[in-house]
Amino acid sequence: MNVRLSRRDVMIGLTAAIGGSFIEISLPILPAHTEEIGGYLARQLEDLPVHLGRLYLQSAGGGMGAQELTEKIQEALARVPPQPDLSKRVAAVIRSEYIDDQVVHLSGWIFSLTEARLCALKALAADTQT
Amino acid sequence: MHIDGNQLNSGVREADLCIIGAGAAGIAIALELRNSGLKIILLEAGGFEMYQQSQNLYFTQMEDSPKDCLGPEYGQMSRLRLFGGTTGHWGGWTRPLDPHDFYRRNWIPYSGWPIQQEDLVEAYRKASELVEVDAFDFEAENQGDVSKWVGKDLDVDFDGTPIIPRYFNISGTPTRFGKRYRGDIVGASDIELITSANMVQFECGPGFNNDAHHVQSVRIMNYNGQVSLIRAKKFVLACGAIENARLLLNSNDTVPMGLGNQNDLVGRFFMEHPHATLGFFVGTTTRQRLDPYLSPQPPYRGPNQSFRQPVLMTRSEFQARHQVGSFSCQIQGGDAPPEVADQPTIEDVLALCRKRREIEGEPDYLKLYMRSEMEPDPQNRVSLEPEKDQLGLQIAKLTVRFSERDLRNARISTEAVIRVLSALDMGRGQITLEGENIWPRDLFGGFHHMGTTRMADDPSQGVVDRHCKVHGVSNLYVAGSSVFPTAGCANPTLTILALAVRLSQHLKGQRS
Repeated sequence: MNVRLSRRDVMIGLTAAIGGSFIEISLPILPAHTEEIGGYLARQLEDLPVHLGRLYLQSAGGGMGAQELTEKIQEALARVPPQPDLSKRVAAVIRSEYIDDQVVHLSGWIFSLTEARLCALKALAADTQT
Repeated sequence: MHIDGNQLNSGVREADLCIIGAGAAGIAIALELRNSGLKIILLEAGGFEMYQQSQNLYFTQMEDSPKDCLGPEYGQMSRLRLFGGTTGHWGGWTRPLDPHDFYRRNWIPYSGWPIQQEDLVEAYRKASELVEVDAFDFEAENQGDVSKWVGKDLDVDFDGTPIIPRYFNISGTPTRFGKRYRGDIVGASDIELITSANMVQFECGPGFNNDAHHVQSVRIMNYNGQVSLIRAKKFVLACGAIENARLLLNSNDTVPMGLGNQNDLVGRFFMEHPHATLGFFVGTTTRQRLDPYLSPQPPYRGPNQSFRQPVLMTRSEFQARHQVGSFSCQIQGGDAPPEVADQPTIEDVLALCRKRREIEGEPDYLKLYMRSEMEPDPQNRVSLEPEKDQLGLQIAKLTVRFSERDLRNARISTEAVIRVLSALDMGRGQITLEGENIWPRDLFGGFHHMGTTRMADDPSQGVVDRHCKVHGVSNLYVAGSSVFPTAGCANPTLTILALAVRLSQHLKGQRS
């Protein structure tokens, strides 16, 4: 999927991807391609380790919600040059975070903040669905 | 010519130059000064073969921390008291110190050599000949271009990261100086090798040219207790960093604090290279993409089949930004770690990796084994215990403590390696320290003793000057890694030999 994504698109897409009615953002008019973006972003989260996401949330003190995570992911994505392919953009963020020491330590394991936050979103979605 | 010191009666022998210690440095100097017109006496406390009576005289009282990281037997285990010295168990690893290792680094107290790498380049080439490994290629781009050495394109690019690939030249069958150069030394008409000749004391008179002291002779004792004297115009002390300091401190008949110790510096600033496994990496494409880093790289060259071992080092800019010393990391094969509750699992990590790259085959489990620089600290030192050995010399006590900065260097540099390998989509890694301020259990030294007679132009900052002459003593020189002001992270043998070659040239130049 090659589509230019705005900040708002990503926010909405992530919300949709995780079935996130619990994210308190105002969505007066849903863009026509929300469903498409949501499906695409859902695939980005697919197979991410929920266990890792839970560990990250625990390490963050347990108070981090989906909206905050989404905003932080959004901010990180904004720091790299826009690319039509979101997966390449996510990869670029993760690479730059490893190089720039924007990482989280979980029991000694080192993960980029964005990949840990994506896992945390997946964990929140999984826990909400159960 | 060879003389068995146990057959010597009391008396005086004379030479132009007396070298005390027939290890790597002492033998190199003797070989370099062959046929120079100097009559040389080379003293060796042991024999051609190891014997316990000699080795026991290396007993050293250990006072180290973390507790027993070097072990109570370190003083005896880590060195060999026989002709050829510690080259008898040398591992064959060679690498020069890097240019920044010689610099004054504001964040490392007491750093800075009075000479630079460029002053040693030619001597390093000669040193490589002596240890019979390939000469080192000083062009940085060639050092870093692993693709060029292995002759194939590698899907790895460290540009723009804190990490830079470098290599060690390793001798496949390390040159044992005692075997390799015995014939050359014994056969030289201008070298008199005396084995079983234990140095006991330097005997001094008034010095010349602003130097307070002048060594007139060295007193030696054989294993029968017979004492004799070696008189010479110049002396080179080349017995290793523990023994060089111990012998100077024990030479206290005319200088109560010990010879060269007018500023209380002899024995201080002892350094080692901490070696430890600090990281674990689950590779998904690592073995395939980093293959040259995981194994020695042919072609094997020369009679000793020397080869290159790539390592990952931190760039000098990273060291400056984080205010740490030099660091190198060797990637080794490892085993899968046990799973621990409430920790990320290997499957978690592999799931992340699968998002970025396909996994082909089984995951690779890798260890990140590091060698790093220990910062110079005057409290790490060789001092004398009241107890004396059978020669009547006070035994050495060695105090070694790795600092908070040493541990921080090891930790953040290993983290940097993990971060870079992760950024390159090779997998994910874990720091395996047991606590924030605790070294891993496998922490050990490399048997690399450095720093106890450090080099500095200012006598208040060092024991020897840039030519390795002891400050305040007009005719005494020191050879070996005891003169290193800082340690870098490269094994010291090549630099020991380069400095020995440089000292030989200096002594030759003085004669002419």
